[in-house]
Amino acid sequence: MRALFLFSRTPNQENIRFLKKLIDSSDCVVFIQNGVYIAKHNIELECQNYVLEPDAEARGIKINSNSVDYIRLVDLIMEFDKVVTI
Amino acid sequence: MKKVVILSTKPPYGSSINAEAFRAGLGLAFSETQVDLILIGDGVYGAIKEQSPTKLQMKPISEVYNNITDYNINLFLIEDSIQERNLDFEELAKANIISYEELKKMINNADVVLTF
Repeated sequence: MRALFLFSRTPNQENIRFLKKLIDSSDCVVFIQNGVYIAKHNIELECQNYVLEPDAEARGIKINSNSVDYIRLVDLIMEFDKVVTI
Repeated sequence: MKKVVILSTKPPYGSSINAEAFRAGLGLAFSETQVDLILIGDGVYGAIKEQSPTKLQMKPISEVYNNITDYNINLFLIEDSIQERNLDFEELAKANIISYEELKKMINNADVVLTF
């Protein structure tokens, strides 16, 4: 079972710790909405992870590499067995 | 002249609370009140200069904070909140950077404190 996590809240120590406990190496995390502020922190996750580009741009957050647009996000949602919003 | 301290604690998008804190301040500033608007916690994200939420069909709150003195409101940012979020001072709107110590003094001197 591979799960896609949509992380939509402003990241803080507690909810990042929670996220890290939930994920496996085969999972994927996409940071959306206020979750995009994650790009300001150096967080190492064991699975692939992306930031939703339009939400980051709206908030004035620059992302270097691992960004996705809405089309790619839909592909990811279809690709994984389960989508979990946290 | 009454002194009002407004604490704005929420991030700028996802809800209208950050904008409402400013709106309350704007109303008070036009009624002979000294308004000190303090961005604290996630509220400091509102002060990032180059926001472009047109794709979200919202107006950038940064335009407000970049020109806040036009509205007769004093803008303050909490230093600890900025550092905890790894923000650079250069990427933020021009404001007075204060510590929690100074915030405490401001709260003690205020007639009213509003938290959003």
